[in-house]
Amino acid sequence: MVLTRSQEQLADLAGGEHQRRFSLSSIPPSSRYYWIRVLLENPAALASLIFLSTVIILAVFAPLVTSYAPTFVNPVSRLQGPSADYWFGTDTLGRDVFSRSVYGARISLLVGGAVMFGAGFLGSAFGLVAGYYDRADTPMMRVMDGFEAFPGILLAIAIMASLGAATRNVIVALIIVFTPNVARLMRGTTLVTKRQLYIESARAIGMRDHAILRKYVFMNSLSPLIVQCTFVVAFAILAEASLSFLGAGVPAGTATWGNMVSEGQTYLQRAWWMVLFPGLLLFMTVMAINLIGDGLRDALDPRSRDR
Amino acid sequence: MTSDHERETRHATSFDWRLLTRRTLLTRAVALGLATPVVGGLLAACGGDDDDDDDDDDTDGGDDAEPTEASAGGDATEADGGDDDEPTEEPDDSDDGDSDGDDPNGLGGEPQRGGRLIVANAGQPTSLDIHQPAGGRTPQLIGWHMFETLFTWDAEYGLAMQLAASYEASDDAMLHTISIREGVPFHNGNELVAADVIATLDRWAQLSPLGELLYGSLDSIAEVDSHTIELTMSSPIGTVPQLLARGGQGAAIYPASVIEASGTDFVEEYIGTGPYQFTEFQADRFTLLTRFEDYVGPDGEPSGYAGARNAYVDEIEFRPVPDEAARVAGFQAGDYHYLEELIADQIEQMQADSNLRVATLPPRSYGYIGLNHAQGLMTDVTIRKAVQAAMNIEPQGLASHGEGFFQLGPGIMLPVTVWDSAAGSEFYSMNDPELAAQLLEEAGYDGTPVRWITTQDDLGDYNSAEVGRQQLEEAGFEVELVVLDEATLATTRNGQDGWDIWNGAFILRTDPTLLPYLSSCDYSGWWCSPDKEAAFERLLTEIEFDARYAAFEELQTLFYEEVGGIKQQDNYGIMAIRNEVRNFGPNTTLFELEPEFTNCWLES
Amino acid sequence: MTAYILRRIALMAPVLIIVAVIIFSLIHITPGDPAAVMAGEEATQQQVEEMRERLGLNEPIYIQFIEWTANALRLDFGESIFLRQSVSSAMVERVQPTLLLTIYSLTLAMLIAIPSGVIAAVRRNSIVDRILMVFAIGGAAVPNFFFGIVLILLFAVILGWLPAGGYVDIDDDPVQHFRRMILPSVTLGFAAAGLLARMVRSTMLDVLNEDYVRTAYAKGLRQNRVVLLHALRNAMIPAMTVLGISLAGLLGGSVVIETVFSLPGMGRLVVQSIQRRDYPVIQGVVLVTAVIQLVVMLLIDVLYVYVDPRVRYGSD
Repeated sequence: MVLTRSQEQLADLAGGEHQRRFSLSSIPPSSRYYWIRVLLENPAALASLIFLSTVIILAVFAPLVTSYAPTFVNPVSRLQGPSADYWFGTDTLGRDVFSRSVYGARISLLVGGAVMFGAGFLGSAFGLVAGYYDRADTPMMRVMDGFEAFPGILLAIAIMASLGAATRNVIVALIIVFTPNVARLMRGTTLVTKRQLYIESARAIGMRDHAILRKYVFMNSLSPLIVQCTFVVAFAILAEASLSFLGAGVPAGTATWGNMVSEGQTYLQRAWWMVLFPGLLLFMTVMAINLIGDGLRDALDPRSRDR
Repeated sequence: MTSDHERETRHATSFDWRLLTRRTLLTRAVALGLATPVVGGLLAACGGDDDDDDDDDDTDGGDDAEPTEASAGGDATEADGGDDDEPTEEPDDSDDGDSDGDDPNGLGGEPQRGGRLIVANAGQPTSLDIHQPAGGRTPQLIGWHMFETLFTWDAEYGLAMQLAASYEASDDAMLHTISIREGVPFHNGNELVAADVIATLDRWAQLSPLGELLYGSLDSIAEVDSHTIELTMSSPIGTVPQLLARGGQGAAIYPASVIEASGTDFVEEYIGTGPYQFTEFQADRFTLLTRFEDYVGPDGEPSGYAGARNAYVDEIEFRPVPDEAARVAGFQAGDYHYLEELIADQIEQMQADSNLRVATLPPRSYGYIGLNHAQGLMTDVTIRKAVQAAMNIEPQGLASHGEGFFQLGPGIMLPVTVWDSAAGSEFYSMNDPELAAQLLEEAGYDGTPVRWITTQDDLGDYNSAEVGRQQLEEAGFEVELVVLDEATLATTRNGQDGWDIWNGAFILRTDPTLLPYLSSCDYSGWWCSPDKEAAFERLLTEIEFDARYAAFEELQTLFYEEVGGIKQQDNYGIMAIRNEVRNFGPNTTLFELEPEFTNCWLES
Repeated sequence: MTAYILRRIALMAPVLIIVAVIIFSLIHITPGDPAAVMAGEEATQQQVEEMRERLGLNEPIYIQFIEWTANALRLDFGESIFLRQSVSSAMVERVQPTLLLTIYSLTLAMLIAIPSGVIAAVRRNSIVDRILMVFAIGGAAVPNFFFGIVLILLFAVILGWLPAGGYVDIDDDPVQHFRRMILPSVTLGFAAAGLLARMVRSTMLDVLNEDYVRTAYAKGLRQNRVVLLHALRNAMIPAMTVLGISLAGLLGGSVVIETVFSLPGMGRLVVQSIQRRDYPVIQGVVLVTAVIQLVVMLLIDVLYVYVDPRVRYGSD
């Protein structure tokens, strides 16, 4: 999955070929954009990026690429297999599984993205503060410990049980679940960074804490944060599916991959296409995000790249 | 069982399409009156007394509405009703009319004793105390193997004696004497005596609506001798045996000692007189019943619940398997012999399996869309008419039950009853979005969203709501589909706030007085008008069937003209059982109420 | 050592308080009146009042909290609204399936993950490594309810080798017990194995880069010996942490798996209680699970010090 140094050198030697394809190998290892090159030269990550971009584009332009609305019911043509009209077949209500899969990408990606940003933002804020201010550290981290004491999905369903089924609530519940995870990571990097000399200097010249936190500490933690966030996206998408299966997720009828797989599993023997396509999309998307995360880690962390 | 009155009520309560033609039913039904509400009440209570027990995801709460994946008796084969102008089917005698040549009852062969029969329930009972409300269907399915009643029903819905040995009523129906069979042991070894019956009835009357009804007219209950009781009424009541017969929250006879210990709380011990006795319960795992070797049952050929109960199977295990996909898979894999709550879409894959016996049964429920007349948009009759005009029932049926598992028809009483009527059929399934749009304009509809409440706990109802939503939207309505869990749906539906439309289903009623939206202005939907009340008054008080039928037809017409609600499709029942279970099917037990495993055997 | 353990236990106290606050708040963030919701559809005003009384909702909120916590400390989580038994006894009845399922799937996960993680690390970047890691990532990318249903269809319905679900106590009939636990354990174990294998691989890589391993190689020790004797032993230390984390995942995963395979465990109890709005049960199960997890984490931390005295615990 990861190119070794020697492979990279070989790739450099074969520069001509590469340049025609990517012109990436012109980025020297010293450049701050070198990681992009490493990432894109990782075949698994590259394929995943292409796949994920396709899914995102399909999701964004969903109305243009589908011929039926995702909620358009047509019981006369229910439970039909894949055909020219219905590429992915139809479900129990005669809804187009292809449309629903494409629109489902919107919700799944929305949940994944919103949770990533929510947990990323809150987790960063908590982590930075806890790591930077000694006095805040213990109380804040104890609270995080408290949230982390629950198995994630259990906490999420307990929250959903109280809030009720809605996409917004799924996002809220999953943000609560994933925030401590991010906070712990950010606290760790902050603890290291704040002892660096340039932070001392910045403080000495009278820079304000929030500026220091924003400009230096946060930026310094960005790489591990980004890597962590990709995994949060992947887990959030899966968690949404599990919540929907348990009846504590996005309301029924809304096209999400989780809902579709969960509704379709009852019909697995009768209409495999109801499950296969959204299931495959879910599986491949989560896998792609994980592979991108791995690739990013390798690309952003020189130590791991050495492996 | 001896008096003429008894015979009459027996006829009156019959709705067995297998033996009677529609015409003979119509003539015999003249006697309808006192008896039918009781049977109907029994049916209603049996299927619909669930409340927030979500284990049983087939019932949608309330004491009156009943979703659809229910089984019914008989066989759905095509027969010409002759004078029917609606696309209704009249199933005929399934003994000779079985079109696919497969015997759904698994008849024939020599009975074999032994083995353990395993049943997959959709949910787990909290208690098997039959008298208690809110138990749902599962406790009934399990409990009636352990408990018995004084009277029960035979295959033709005639009354039969179970624990009773004789019954006599005075001519004025004020004094009722019931003697019980001698030498009937309880599972604890004690003999059943009159004191047990009296203790049971006193408790039952405090818990069960049927009991409350009976005791409402009761002056005193007395022990004549150790095996005879006497009920003295304060007002005449001709249906004492029916009220005491098996049914939802029915008068299952417990030992007096058990009742003393529990009062009206849930009983601590399950001790009955039935052919199976309670052996073990493990939460979320199983309920195990074993044959009661000292059982002393009534004699006679088994018929419905009546007659001999042979208890061929040694043990019956009931397992809660809540996940539908897992339940079906386990059934196909042979883990269970029978499963509750089967949806029609699963039937197809089962039909190919020679290890399974699958049957489609005639309708015993119909889909219903309730409109909130009390508050909001639907208070305007023009808007309601627009809803009516927009409805196309066939896709709703397809979505909720699948092709071949429903039929269309305007009758708000099922065609298997004597009350089938085409009145108002011009307003049934109009499928006229243009007219709907026109009506909306006329009503000055301003685009306020219609709040349609539904639940995903019942997939059929939910699918139906999705289709209905789309039909309304095509006509120009704005619709907000509010998906609630089952319990919340029931609460919301019974209050006037926060909703405009709900959908569910009504189980078979034998008499229209038992349809809550007809009988009461207080029922969810609050359909009320002077015409309706007047027509209902006649339905209730007239004695002659023709006059009652006329009143009912007027009510059905009003239902369509005033748009009391929307009647959807009639839903077929379905049955699936593993083939090694012999002598079990729509003809060997009263499937439409609760199947019973007392006379089936396992073929090795 | 003892001092360290005592300090760790003392540190758990504030976390437990926070856990208690979180669980206690669950009932209070419900929109609307929790008493009305729990009393059910046909409840009269009086029944709702009784329910409120029973749940203590009439008291000021801090009193409610103190009472609830005090009861919880005595393992009294109240009465289940639906089950007509105390929450604690309901949980006791359902501990075995969850516990055994967790143990089986954890064992399975380790049996799969440790060898594959080690092989992947030793042969890093080889084709074996890549295939293993794609499987690892893939295994963690399949929703486990779906994987479970596919296994049921394959092994129960089509092949007929194993039962589709249900539970038999291990002391009643061990053979039936294991037959029924195979599919759920595989479902849960495989998913956990993916994550675990990746962690084993990465900790192994760290260790393989350590000086003493390089020295061992330099001494001319054979690779197997180095890996087994030196690297693996040291890699087990971080792997224990991983174990703790996986355990948390498995406890959560059992919620889904118990529903799919009809196992009468705590996970299924909590899912059913959500449908029944049986908040005392939800609170009890979630609290107990959290405490179990905290204790496991504590044990692992203690074990960590015990196994590797070099580990220094500083400010935290």
